[in-house]
Amino acid sequence: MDIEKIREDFKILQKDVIYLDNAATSLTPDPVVKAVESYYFDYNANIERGVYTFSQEASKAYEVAHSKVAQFFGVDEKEIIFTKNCTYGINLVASGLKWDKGDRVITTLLEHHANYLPWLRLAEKHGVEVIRISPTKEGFFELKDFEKAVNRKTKLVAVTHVSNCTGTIVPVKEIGEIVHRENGLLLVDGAQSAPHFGINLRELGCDFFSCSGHKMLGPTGTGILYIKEDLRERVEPFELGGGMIKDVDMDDFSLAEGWERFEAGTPNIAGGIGLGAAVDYLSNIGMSKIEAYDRKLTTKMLDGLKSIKKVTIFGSQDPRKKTGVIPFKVSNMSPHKVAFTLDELANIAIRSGLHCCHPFLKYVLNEPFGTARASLYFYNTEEEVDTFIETLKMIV
Amino acid sequence: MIKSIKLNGEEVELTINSLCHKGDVGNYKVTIEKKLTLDLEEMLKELKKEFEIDKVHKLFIIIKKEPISISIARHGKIMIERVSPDTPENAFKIAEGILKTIPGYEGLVKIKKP
Repeated sequence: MDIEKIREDFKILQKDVIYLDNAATSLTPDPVVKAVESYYFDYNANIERGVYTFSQEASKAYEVAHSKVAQFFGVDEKEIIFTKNCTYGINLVASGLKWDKGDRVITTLLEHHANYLPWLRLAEKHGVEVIRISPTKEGFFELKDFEKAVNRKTKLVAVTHVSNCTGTIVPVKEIGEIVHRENGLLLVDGAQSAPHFGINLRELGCDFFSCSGHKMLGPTGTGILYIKEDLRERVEPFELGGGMIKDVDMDDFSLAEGWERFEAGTPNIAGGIGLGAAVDYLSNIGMSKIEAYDRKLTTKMLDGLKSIKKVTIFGSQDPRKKTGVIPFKVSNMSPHKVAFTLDELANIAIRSGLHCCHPFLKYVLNEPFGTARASLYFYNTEEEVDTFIETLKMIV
Repeated sequence: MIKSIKLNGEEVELTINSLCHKGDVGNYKVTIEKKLTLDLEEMLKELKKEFEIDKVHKLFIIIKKEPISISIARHGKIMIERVSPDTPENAFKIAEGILKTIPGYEGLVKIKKP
């Protein structure tokens, strides 16, 4: 991997920022920006409705984007729905499945609010029983806790693939096996995994997988939801309108068969095409190369942080069991102050606070004011990690 | 929230952004939207009459008045932590105490809708 060449594609890096907030959103490479620009400059038109050339071109590009994403995840194009973000995808499943009083949903205290609040709402609205499994402070789970919690009433287990708080990788495949034994369904929040390692959704064995486009080089306002083919009809779309029907009569209607049934109205066409370019970009580099490089940087950052006495690292410190999301705190300094001073001293961008993960921070880590969080991606360099560590040393 | 202040006879935008918060305790970043270099040393003379000095660096200072902690950076960024009640208006009221110590600060001009 030629990092310097890759960095040339990310024009924003010319502003000399050290961008370590990749878990919030990734930067956008030139080919993705150009794909979006090309839609507006070269063939701007609505899709699936026009006979004229621009509309045909736009429709084709949008459909091709679906098939690129489907190929990226090893599934069929019909199973890939473009959403506006990961949160939307999870909410679509939560509101689209039929719920009865007494149904059980199992989630965890490690979840981002996106994969926590929709289930609390079900409890409130439909009397669904929500079970929360607690991880260790490192962000690991005991599979036996899932075995104990899953029963015949379990309709769904909703769990993150990689924690946005600790970066720990969750054994979702094994959890899926437990759930499926009792005929339950598995929803995986893939916002923090999809950008960082190769995922074949068939092999992963989940029923639903939602992730963000903007965390994997795509434009903001893009997301992906995978719904396994045989479950498509069990999920009712919560938006109805144009572009998603097979037929409409005076009193009734029938829905389209593929992803179209969940994409009512004019979608984010430019964003979707940009997302297609993003997965092209990732595929051209190769996800295994990205994963290996991420791990190398993660190891270096963990070693650097360990060398600073006043720094406490949260979560697992084993780079084989996590991605480059590294939460930490500096004694006698709030996480916001750490972020503020890093920005002031060296134009280093990190995140601070509760990371939309209040239950984990409050009740598991016992850090009610949150943590500082540095998160890496493949365009970061070893020199940037060195600068980050040196600046942090200066601060403490 | 965006406000307008007068600094050395010139109208300058002031952005007040909410950061991560917990319950009714919030954190805010207040940014003076103009390229400037604050004379932190000069400001400190006034600030220490009202605040406890926590940290002094050539690029930033940190002051506090329990439970509030304020970080002020040389290039016109102010971060206020533990604001309660958690409203941008309240954050601005606190920020005004800092802005007043900037030589040339003449006060608020008008409220702009976000």
